[in-house]
Amino acid sequence: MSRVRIRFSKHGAMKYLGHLDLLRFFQKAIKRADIPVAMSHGFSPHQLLSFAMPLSVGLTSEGEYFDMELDTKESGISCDEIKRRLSETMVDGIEIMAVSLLSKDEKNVMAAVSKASYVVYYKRHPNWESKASPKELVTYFKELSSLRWEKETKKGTKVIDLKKEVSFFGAGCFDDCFFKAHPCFDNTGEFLTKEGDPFFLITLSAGSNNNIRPEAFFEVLLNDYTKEHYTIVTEGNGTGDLAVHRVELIFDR
Amino acid sequence: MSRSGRLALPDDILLSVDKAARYIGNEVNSVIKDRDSVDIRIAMCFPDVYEIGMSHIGMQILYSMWNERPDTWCERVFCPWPDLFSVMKERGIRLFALESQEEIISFDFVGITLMYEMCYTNVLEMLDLSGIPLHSKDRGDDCPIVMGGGACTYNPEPIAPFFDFFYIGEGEVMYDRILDLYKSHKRSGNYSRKAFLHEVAKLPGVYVPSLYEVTYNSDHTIKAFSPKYPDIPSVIKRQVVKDLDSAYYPTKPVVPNVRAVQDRAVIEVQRGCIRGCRFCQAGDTYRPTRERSVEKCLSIAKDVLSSTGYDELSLSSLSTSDYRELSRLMDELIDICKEENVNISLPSLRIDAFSLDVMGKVQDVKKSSLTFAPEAGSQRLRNVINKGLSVEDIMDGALKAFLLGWNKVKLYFMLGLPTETKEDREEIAHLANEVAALYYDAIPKEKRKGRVSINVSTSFFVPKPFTPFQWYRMFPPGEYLGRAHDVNSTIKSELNHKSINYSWHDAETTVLEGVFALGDRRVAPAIEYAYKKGQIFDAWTDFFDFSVWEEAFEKTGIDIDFYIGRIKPFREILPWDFIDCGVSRKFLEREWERAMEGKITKNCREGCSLCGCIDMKTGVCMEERKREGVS
Ligand code: SF4
Ligand code: SF4
Repeated sequence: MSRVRIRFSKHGAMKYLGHLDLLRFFQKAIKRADIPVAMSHGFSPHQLLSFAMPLSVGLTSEGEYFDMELDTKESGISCDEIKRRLSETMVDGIEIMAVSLLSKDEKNVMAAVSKASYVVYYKRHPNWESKASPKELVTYFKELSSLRWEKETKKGTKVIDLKKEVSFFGAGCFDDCFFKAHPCFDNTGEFLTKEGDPFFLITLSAGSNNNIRPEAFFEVLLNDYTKEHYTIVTEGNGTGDLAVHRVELIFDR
Repeated sequence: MSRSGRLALPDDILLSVDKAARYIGNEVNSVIKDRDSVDIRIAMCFPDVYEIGMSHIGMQILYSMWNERPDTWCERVFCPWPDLFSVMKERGIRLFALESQEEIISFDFVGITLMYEMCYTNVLEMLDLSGIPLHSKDRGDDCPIVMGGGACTYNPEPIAPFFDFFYIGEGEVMYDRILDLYKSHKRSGNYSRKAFLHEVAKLPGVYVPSLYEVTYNSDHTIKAFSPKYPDIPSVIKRQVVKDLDSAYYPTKPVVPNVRAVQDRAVIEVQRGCIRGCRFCQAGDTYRPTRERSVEKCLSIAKDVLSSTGYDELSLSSLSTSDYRELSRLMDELIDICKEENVNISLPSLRIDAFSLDVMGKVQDVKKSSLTFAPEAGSQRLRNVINKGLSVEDIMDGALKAFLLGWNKVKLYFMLGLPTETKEDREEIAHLANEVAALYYDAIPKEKRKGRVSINVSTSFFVPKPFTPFQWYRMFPPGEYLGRAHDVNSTIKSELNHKSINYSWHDAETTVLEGVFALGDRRVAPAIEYAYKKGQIFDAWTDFFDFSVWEEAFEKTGIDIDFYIGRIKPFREILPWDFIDCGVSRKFLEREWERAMEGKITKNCREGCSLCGCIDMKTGVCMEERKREGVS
């Protein structure tokens, strides 16, 4: 049975689509595009798809992935053809970026994810910048020996050292060229970033075992740095401090 | 064409409300046009939440039909959920259409689909959020024309002051002429809404409430209902599609982004019902029964599946078992769907050998349940309501199904029907018990997969306009609950009570529905009062507060018993008498009398009972068969 991995982006108005609705969106798109997808057996067969790392509502991404098994009886469809047919039936805000064939022994996408990279920038809270300028914050983090996070889980509190979960952390500035090359950043037009605005680039542990959400990381770090209590919100109660854009998922081979 | 620009709601709001994707539009098959190249902009409003409105096939039909016109752009609007409603109110954000994300106050038409009475406060919510004055009389020339259509227009009076006009009947027929007329008025250069409404009132099916005057007798009954001007028609005739095959049907319906109640392709196979159950408004107001050909249904099914990518398909109509070529249609559909990996979800069919065979083919017997709607417990009462489903039918069907592996049964009944007695209610429990007993008799112990499960549910009967029971009355909530209690306690005393589960509908909601269904113009202030007191989404128990409604009726001087608490004489003028819905007054009166005598009336195929719809010269009325007339 052949498998393909599909990379897509999610931005604009579609960033408000929940994960289950996104799943249904793709199930229908695959049918509209008439892709020979393999089906499960049983009374109501479903498409054999597996999605990696649900993105929280409100985040944008150019690093979304799912794997699709193809029906071998009807094989012969090329990756280019899959990309072409799917692209034809997308809506604004979801773009098929790449389709590639997987080798037999490749792990499925959810099991393969080990890290995720994000661009993070301030939505609105100009005083934050003075309290915590990106460069200073990065330096501060690098000099810490550990960063303790007491994570509330269903099974109780779990202590995590965030220092061990970050493989890259840097600060930069949007320049005109970088920004234009990334239409996936918020194109609802609401907080378009200007040239010179700061952003963070961060790579965090990800996957089913040990997943660190960037908003959680920033909350812990900023609390530690300013000794004030911040609740960082990218979703949920609407104050929206940080904009998070997922750039890429990194897979174990 | 793709949409540019911002969303109507800012990010912080979208991230704080439940299911933000309800408000972003951008769905597959939604229509984006260039605003500068159209003459008419329509906001099609559904006064309920997105997931419900998007499941409504009538709305999809009108949406696609209007957008076929190059000069018209029709967009969708749903009722913001209470969480968003309060934020919009607070921040002064106006109601917008999903496609363009633009405020609908600048549109030409605001069309409101009225499918059930309990949405009336939501209608006011939508007008209010739009910035449109609630009352037609307060609207200026630059305000959109507010029109209403749908099932509730068979008595539009309780909401008449809020609408500029209602369209009565099936939308496919007259809307083109309405839009053309509007365009010519706009082009004239000196448009006035008053002049437009006066002209549109002359089109068949159009009712402009402000052009009619109602006077009352000292006992509050209606004395006269008449047009204010000689050139305005005194009777409004329901508009009917003659031929479903050539009628417009959307093959590219909008695919909801948030899972809708009906997340599937829907094929309307017929309109109308031949059965004539005397409590059923749809059974009268959609007459005569018209079928869509098998070929047309199949071609629609293929087109809809390929344009939407749905993996499920369902048929829609009243009493689908009466579709004459159902067996051929099902065979062909099953073939198509197998090939396309699409599931078929069945409408509720009369349970017999045929339907069980089909059900066995397309659904998981273990999971699915059998549905019977005898509506009344005793044969006597079933004769009164003309429900042609006998105990033998139920027992035969259930037995066959049990032998094939089914063990879940749903039974639907109504309480509060004309002539109903305690015995009739107790019969509901006996019937449920007998069905359970049948299972244990028919299926040997070792073959049973657990206990049989019988779900009995009752709703309270609401008399509806244009039914033979339109003169009948309702009861106070306490009385209804007493009747449900009769059923409940009898069920408890049955031998198989452990296999029977009983639930009943909310009595207070039902009473309110009755006031809206049977009320006249004088009810409107109470609806406005309740809205202003914060009542919205009355159909949702979480938001429904009957005490606010009691206060509203009291403060606006409305005695609900006048509308729902008495049996009305034939001579009384009913608020909806100005509508000619096809079935004649004589027929309804005759049917009421036959009901009281416990006489059943044949269905349209067994024999025409000359209900009046024959004048429309279409559908079942034109089929070859005996004409019995009055017997
Ligand atoms: S069978 Fe009876 S209840 Fe059902 S739609 Fe027909 S008339 Fe109405
Ligand atoms: S005229 Fe006869 S056949 Fe036609 S709808 Fe009425 S009862 Fe049925």
